[in-house]
Amino acid sequence: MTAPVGSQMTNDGGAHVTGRVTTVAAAVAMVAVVVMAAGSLMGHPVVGTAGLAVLFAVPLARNLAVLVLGRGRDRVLALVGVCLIVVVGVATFRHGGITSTLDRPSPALPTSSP
Amino acid sequence: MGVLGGLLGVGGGVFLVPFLVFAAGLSAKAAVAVSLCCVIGTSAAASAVGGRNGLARLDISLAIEPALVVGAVLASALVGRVSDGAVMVGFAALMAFIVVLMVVRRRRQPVDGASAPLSTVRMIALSVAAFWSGAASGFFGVGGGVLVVPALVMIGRLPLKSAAATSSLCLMTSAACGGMVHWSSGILEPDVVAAALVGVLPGGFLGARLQRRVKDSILEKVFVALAATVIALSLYQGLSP
Repeated sequence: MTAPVGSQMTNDGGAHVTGRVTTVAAAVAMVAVVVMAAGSLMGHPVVGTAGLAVLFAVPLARNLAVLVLGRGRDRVLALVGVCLIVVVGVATFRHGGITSTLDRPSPALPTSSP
Repeated sequence: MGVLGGLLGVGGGVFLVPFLVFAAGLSAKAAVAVSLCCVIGTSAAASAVGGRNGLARLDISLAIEPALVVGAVLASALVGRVSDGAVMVGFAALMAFIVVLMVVRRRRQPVDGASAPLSTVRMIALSVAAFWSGAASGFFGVGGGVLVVPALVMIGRLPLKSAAATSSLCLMTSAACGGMVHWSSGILEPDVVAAALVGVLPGGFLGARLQRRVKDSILEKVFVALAATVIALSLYQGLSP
Protein backbone atom coordinates (compact mmCIF):
# COMPACT_ATOMS: atom_id res chain seq x y z
CA MET A 1 0.00 0.00 0.00
CA THR A 2 1.81 3.05 -1.22
CA ALA A 3 0.32 6.51 -1.18
CA PRO A 4 1.32 9.08 -3.76
CA VAL A 5 2.43 11.35 -0.94
CA GLY A 6 6.03 12.17 -1.57
CA SER A 7 6.03 11.16 -5.21
CA GLN A 8 6.06 14.62 -6.73
CA MET A 9 9.61 15.47 -5.78
CA THR A 10 10.84 12.69 -7.99
CA ASN A 11 9.27 13.66 -11.27
CA ASP A 12 7.95 17.18 -11.65
CA GLY A 13 10.49 19.63 -10.46
CA GLY A 14 9.02 19.86 -6.95
CA ALA A 15 12.38 21.03 -5.61
CA HIS A 16 12.14 24.10 -7.83
CA VAL A 17 8.70 24.95 -6.42
CA THR A 18 10.00 24.34 -2.88
CA GLY A 19 12.86 26.76 -3.47
CA ARG A 20 10.51 29.48 -4.66
CA VAL A 21 7.92 29.12 -1.91
CA THR A 22 10.56 29.02 0.83
CA THR A 23 12.08 32.18 -0.60
CA VAL A 24 8.66 33.84 -0.37
CA ALA A 25 8.38 32.77 3.28
CA ALA A 26 11.86 34.03 4.14
CA ALA A 27 11.14 37.36 2.43
CA VAL A 28 7.93 37.84 4.43
CA ALA A 29 9.78 36.94 7.64
CA MET A 30 12.45 39.53 6.89
CA VAL A 31 9.76 42.17 6.30
CA ALA A 32 8.19 41.24 9.63
CA VAL A 33 11.50 41.57 11.48
CA VAL A 34 12.19 44.96 9.88
CA VAL A 35 8.70 46.25 10.72
CA MET A 36 8.91 45.01 14.31
CA ALA A 37 12.39 46.47 14.76
CA ALA A 38 11.18 49.79 13.33
CA GLY A 39 8.19 49.78 15.66
CA SER A 40 10.45 49.02 18.59
CA LEU A 41 12.90 51.81 17.70
CA MET A 42 10.10 54.31 17.14
CA GLY A 43 8.37 53.24 20.32
CA HIS A 44 5.19 52.76 18.34
CA PRO A 45 3.20 49.72 19.53
CA VAL A 46 0.89 49.72 16.50
CA VAL A 47 3.84 49.28 14.11
CA GLY A 48 5.35 46.59 16.31
CA THR A 49 2.04 44.77 16.48
CA ALA A 50 1.69 45.01 12.70
CA GLY A 51 5.13 43.42 12.39
CA LEU A 52 4.07 40.63 14.70
CA ALA A 53 0.96 40.05 12.58
CA VAL A 54 3.15 39.86 9.46
CA LEU A 55 5.39 37.34 11.25
CA PHE A 56 2.38 35.15 11.99
CA ALA A 57 1.40 35.42 8.32
CA VAL A 58 4.69 33.86 7.14
CA PRO A 59 3.33 30.29 6.83
CA LEU A 60 0.14 31.66 5.30
CA ALA A 61 2.18 33.39 2.59
CA ARG A 62 4.14 30.22 1.97
CA ASN A 63 1.01 28.08 1.65
CA LEU A 64 -0.58 30.64 -0.68
CA ALA A 65 2.59 30.47 -2.78
CA VAL A 66 2.21 26.68 -2.93
CA LEU A 67 -1.40 27.15 -4.04
CA VAL A 68 -0.20 29.35 -6.90
CA LEU A 69 3.02 27.55 -7.84
CA GLY A 70 2.44 23.97 -6.73
CA ARG A 71 0.63 21.07 -8.32
CA GLY A 72 -1.82 18.31 -7.49
CA ARG A 73 -1.82 17.00 -3.95
CA ASP A 74 0.55 19.71 -2.72
CA ARG A 75 -2.07 22.35 -3.55
CA VAL A 76 -4.78 20.46 -1.69
CA LEU A 77 -2.55 20.10 1.38
CA ALA A 78 -1.58 23.77 1.14
CA LEU A 79 -5.28 24.69 1.06
CA VAL A 80 -5.83 22.63 4.23
CA GLY A 81 -2.92 24.51 5.82
CA VAL A 82 -4.36 27.87 4.79
CA CYS A 83 -7.72 26.96 6.31
CA LEU A 84 -6.07 25.85 9.57
CA ILE A 85 -4.02 29.04 9.87
CA VAL A 86 -7.04 31.24 9.08
CA VAL A 87 -9.21 29.40 11.62
CA VAL A 88 -6.58 29.76 14.37
CA GLY A 89 -5.95 33.39 13.39
CA VAL A 90 -9.63 34.34 13.42
CA ALA A 91 -10.19 32.51 16.71
CA THR A 92 -7.28 34.29 18.42
CA PHE A 93 -8.31 37.63 16.91
CA ARG A 94 -11.80 37.21 18.30
CA HIS A 95 -10.22 36.25 21.62
CA GLY A 96 -8.37 39.55 21.67
CA GLY A 97 -5.03 38.86 19.94
CA ILE A 98 -4.21 42.34 18.66
CA THR A 99 -6.07 44.28 21.32
CA SER A 100 -4.38 42.25 24.07
CA THR A 101 -1.01 43.49 22.84
CA LEU A 102 -2.05 47.09 22.29
CA ASP A 103 -4.21 47.69 25.33
CA ARG A 104 -2.69 45.82 28.22
CA PRO A 105 0.47 46.65 30.14
CA SER A 106 3.17 44.18 29.20
CA PRO A 107 3.37 41.15 31.47
CA ALA A 108 6.34 40.02 29.33
CA LEU A 109 8.56 42.56 31.04
CA PRO A 110 10.93 41.24 33.73
CA THR A 111 9.01 40.00 36.70
CA SER A 112 11.79 38.66 38.88
CA SER A 113 15.53 38.51 39.02
CA PRO A 114 17.09 35.05 38.73
CA MET B 1 21.48 31.77 21.59
CA GLY B 2 21.12 31.68 17.82
CA VAL B 3 24.80 30.76 17.40
CA LEU B 4 24.44 27.93 19.91
CA GLY B 5 21.24 26.69 18.31
CA GLY B 6 22.71 26.76 14.81
CA LEU B 7 26.03 25.31 15.96
CA LEU B 8 24.43 22.40 17.78
CA GLY B 9 21.63 21.89 15.25
CA VAL B 10 18.87 22.05 17.84
CA GLY B 11 17.30 25.42 16.95
CA GLY B 12 17.39 28.54 19.06
CA GLY B 13 14.43 27.84 21.35
CA VAL B 14 16.17 25.19 23.41
CA PHE B 15 18.59 27.80 24.75
CA LEU B 16 16.51 30.93 24.18
CA VAL B 17 13.78 29.98 26.67
CA PRO B 18 16.16 29.45 29.63
CA PHE B 19 18.14 32.57 28.62
CA LEU B 20 15.00 34.72 28.61
CA VAL B 21 13.96 33.31 31.98
CA PHE B 22 17.29 33.37 33.82
CA ALA B 23 19.11 36.29 32.18
CA ALA B 24 16.33 38.56 30.94
CA GLY B 25 13.98 37.84 33.86
CA LEU B 26 10.89 37.03 31.80
CA SER B 27 8.25 34.71 33.13
CA ALA B 28 8.42 31.17 31.74
CA LYS B 29 5.20 31.63 29.74
CA ALA B 30 6.36 34.93 28.21
CA ALA B 31 9.69 33.31 27.31
CA VAL B 32 7.86 30.43 25.61
CA ALA B 33 5.75 32.89 23.59
CA VAL B 34 8.76 34.97 22.48
CA SER B 35 10.71 31.84 21.60
CA LEU B 36 7.87 30.56 19.40
CA CYS B 37 7.92 33.81 17.44
CA CYS B 38 11.68 33.45 16.96
CA VAL B 39 11.11 29.91 15.66
CA ILE B 40 8.95 31.35 12.84
CA GLY B 41 11.79 33.63 11.69
CA THR B 42 14.60 31.11 12.05
CA SER B 43 12.70 28.28 10.39
CA ALA B 44 11.69 30.55 7.49
CA ALA B 45 15.33 31.54 6.97
CA ALA B 46 16.63 27.99 7.37
CA SER B 47 14.00 26.51 5.05
CA ALA B 48 14.94 29.02 2.35
CA VAL B 49 18.45 27.56 2.36
CA GLY B 50 17.16 23.97 2.43
CA GLY B 51 14.57 24.71 -0.24
CA ARG B 52 17.14 26.14 -2.65
CA ASN B 53 19.43 23.14 -2.07
CA GLY B 54 16.61 20.74 -2.94
CA LEU B 55 16.87 19.08 0.48
CA ALA B 56 13.46 20.06 1.89
CA ARG B 57 10.45 17.81 1.18
CA LEU B 58 7.53 20.20 0.73
CA ASP B 59 5.06 17.35 0.24
CA ILE B 60 5.93 15.66 3.54
CA SER B 61 5.98 19.01 5.32
CA LEU B 62 2.50 19.90 4.10
CA ALA B 63 1.20 16.44 4.99
CA ILE B 64 2.31 16.51 8.63
CA GLU B 65 1.59 20.19 9.28
CA PRO B 66 -2.06 19.72 10.35
CA ALA B 67 -0.98 17.35 13.13
CA LEU B 68 1.78 19.74 14.17
CA VAL B 69 -0.64 22.67 14.27
CA VAL B 70 -3.26 20.82 16.31
CA GLY B 71 -0.61 19.74 18.82
CA ALA B 72 0.87 23.23 19.06
CA VAL B 73 -2.49 24.97 19.48
CA LEU B 74 -3.72 22.56 22.16
CA ALA B 75 -0.43 22.78 24.09
CA SER B 76 -0.30 26.58 23.77
CA ALA B 77 -3.80 26.80 25.18
CA LEU B 78 -2.83 24.42 27.97
CA VAL B 79 0.31 26.29 29.02
CA GLY B 80 -1.79 29.22 30.21
CA ARG B 81 -3.45 26.93 32.76
CA VAL B 82 -0.31 25.65 34.47
CA SER B 83 2.17 27.40 36.74
CA ASP B 84 5.53 28.80 35.60
CA GLY B 85 7.24 26.29 37.87
CA ALA B 86 5.55 23.37 36.13
CA VAL B 87 6.65 24.75 32.76
CA MET B 88 10.28 24.91 33.92
CA VAL B 89 10.23 21.39 35.40
CA GLY B 90 8.71 20.10 32.17
CA PHE B 91 11.37 22.00 30.22
CA ALA B 92 14.08 20.23 32.24
CA ALA B 93 12.51 16.87 31.40
CA LEU B 94 12.33 17.81 27.72
CA MET B 95 16.02 18.80 27.73
CA ALA B 96 16.95 15.42 29.22
CA PHE B 97 14.89 13.70 26.52
CA ILE B 98 16.61 15.77 23.82
CA VAL B 99 20.05 14.73 25.11
CA VAL B 100 19.04 11.07 24.83
CA LEU B 101 17.61 11.63 21.35
CA MET B 102 20.79 13.37 20.17
CA VAL B 103 22.97 10.49 21.33
CA VAL B 104 20.67 7.94 19.66
CA ARG B 105 20.53 10.02 16.48
CA ARG B 106 24.30 10.25 16.20
CA ARG B 107 24.68 6.48 16.54
CA ARG B 108 22.20 5.68 13.76
CA GLN B 109 23.50 4.99 10.29
CA PRO B 110 22.44 7.52 7.64
CA VAL B 111 19.69 6.32 5.32
CA ASP B 112 19.10 7.12 1.68
CA GLY B 113 15.51 7.88 0.85
CA ALA B 114 15.50 11.56 -0.01
CA SER B 115 13.04 11.33 -2.90
CA ALA B 116 11.29 8.03 -2.23
CA PRO B 117 7.51 8.06 -1.71
CA LEU B 118 6.26 7.26 1.79
CA SER B 119 3.69 4.59 2.54
CA THR B 120 0.39 5.55 4.14
CA VAL B 121 1.35 3.74 7.34
CA ARG B 122 4.57 5.77 7.62
CA MET B 123 2.69 9.00 6.97
CA ILE B 124 0.21 8.19 9.76
CA ALA B 125 3.07 7.34 12.12
CA LEU B 126 4.81 10.58 11.15
CA SER B 127 1.63 12.54 11.80
CA VAL B 128 1.34 11.04 15.30
CA ALA B 129 4.97 11.99 16.00
CA ALA B 130 4.29 15.44 14.52
CA PHE B 131 1.35 15.96 16.88
CA TRP B 132 3.56 15.40 19.92
CA SER B 133 6.34 17.51 18.44
CA GLY B 134 3.85 20.33 17.92
CA ALA B 135 2.64 19.90 21.49
CA ALA B 136 6.21 20.15 22.82
CA SER B 137 6.76 23.19 20.62
CA GLY B 138 3.64 24.99 21.82
CA PHE B 139 4.17 24.13 25.48
CA PHE B 140 7.90 24.75 25.81
CA GLY B 141 8.59 27.21 22.99
CA VAL B 142 11.21 25.02 21.36
CA GLY B 143 11.15 24.64 17.60
CA GLY B 144 10.15 21.02 17.79
CA GLY B 145 12.86 20.19 15.27
CA VAL B 146 14.71 18.27 17.95
CA LEU B 147 11.75 15.87 17.90
CA VAL B 148 10.60 16.15 14.27
CA VAL B 149 14.05 15.49 12.79
CA PRO B 150 14.54 12.13 14.56
CA ALA B 151 10.97 11.17 13.57
CA LEU B 152 11.64 12.02 9.92
CA VAL B 153 14.88 10.01 10.03
CA MET B 154 13.56 7.00 11.92
CA ILE B 155 9.99 6.80 10.60
CA GLY B 156 10.23 8.71 7.32
CA ARG B 157 13.68 7.21 6.51
CA LEU B 158 14.91 10.57 5.24
CA PRO B 159 18.62 11.40 5.28
CA LEU B 160 19.56 13.64 8.19
CA LYS B 161 20.11 16.79 6.10
CA SER B 162 16.84 16.32 4.23
CA ALA B 163 15.02 15.71 7.53
CA ALA B 164 16.48 18.88 9.05
CA ALA B 165 15.48 20.97 6.00
CA THR B 166 11.97 19.46 5.96
CA SER B 167 11.49 20.14 9.67
CA SER B 168 12.45 23.79 9.15
CA LEU B 169 9.79 23.96 6.48
CA CYS B 170 6.94 22.64 8.60
CA LEU B 171 7.80 24.13 12.00
CA MET B 172 7.03 27.72 10.99
CA THR B 173 3.33 26.86 10.70
CA SER B 174 3.01 25.21 14.10
CA ALA B 175 5.08 27.99 15.71
CA ALA B 176 2.88 30.66 14.11
CA CYS B 177 -0.35 29.02 15.25
CA GLY B 178 1.04 28.39 18.74
CA GLY B 179 2.34 31.96 18.86
CA MET B 180 -1.09 33.33 17.92
CA VAL B 181 -2.65 31.46 20.84
CA HIS B 182 -0.05 32.96 23.21
CA TRP B 183 -0.72 36.35 21.60
CA SER B 184 -4.40 36.10 22.45
CA SER B 185 -3.53 35.56 26.10
CA GLY B 186 -1.70 38.90 26.14
CA ILE B 187 1.77 37.70 27.14
CA LEU B 188 3.47 38.57 23.86
CA GLU B 189 5.46 41.80 23.57
CA PRO B 190 6.51 42.84 20.02
CA ASP B 191 9.53 44.78 21.33
CA VAL B 192 10.96 41.70 23.05
CA VAL B 193 10.26 39.56 19.97
CA ALA B 194 12.00 42.10 17.71
CA ALA B 195 15.06 42.27 19.96
CA ALA B 196 15.29 38.48 20.19
CA LEU B 197 14.80 37.95 16.44
CA VAL B 198 17.39 40.55 15.48
CA GLY B 199 19.94 38.60 17.53
CA VAL B 200 18.82 35.05 16.86
CA LEU B 201 18.52 35.25 13.05
CA PRO B 202 22.13 36.22 12.18
CA GLY B 203 23.34 34.08 15.08
CA GLY B 204 21.61 31.05 13.59
CA PHE B 205 23.31 31.58 10.23
CA LEU B 206 26.71 32.03 11.92
CA GLY B 207 26.21 28.91 14.04
CA ALA B 208 25.23 26.83 11.00
CA ARG B 209 28.43 27.96 9.23
CA LEU B 210 30.59 27.22 12.28
CA GLN B 211 29.02 23.78 12.56
CA ARG B 212 30.98 22.54 9.53
CA ARG B 213 34.30 23.48 11.15
CA VAL B 214 33.80 21.91 14.57
CA LYS B 215 34.04 18.17 15.24
CA ASP B 216 30.82 16.34 16.10
CA SER B 217 32.35 14.88 19.26
CA ILE B 218 33.16 18.38 20.57
CA LEU B 219 29.66 19.61 19.68
CA GLU B 220 28.12 16.71 21.55
CA LYS B 221 30.17 17.43 24.68
CA VAL B 222 29.31 21.14 24.52
CA PHE B 223 25.63 20.33 24.13
CA VAL B 224 25.58 17.86 27.01
CA ALA B 225 27.38 20.37 29.29
CA LEU B 226 24.97 23.19 28.37
CA ALA B 227 21.95 20.91 28.64
CA ALA B 228 23.04 19.75 32.11
CA THR B 229 23.33 23.40 33.20
CA VAL B 230 19.91 24.25 31.78
CA ILE B 231 18.33 21.19 33.39
CA ALA B 232 19.79 22.08 36.80
CA LEU B 233 18.73 25.74 36.56
CA SER B 234 15.25 24.85 35.28
CA LEU B 235 14.70 22.35 38.08
CA TYR B 236 15.91 24.89 40.64
CA GLN B 237 13.61 27.58 39.21
CA GLY B 238 10.67 25.21 38.87
CA LEU B 239 10.92 23.58 42.28
CA SER B 240 11.84 26.63 44.37
CA PRO B 241 8.81 28.12 46.19
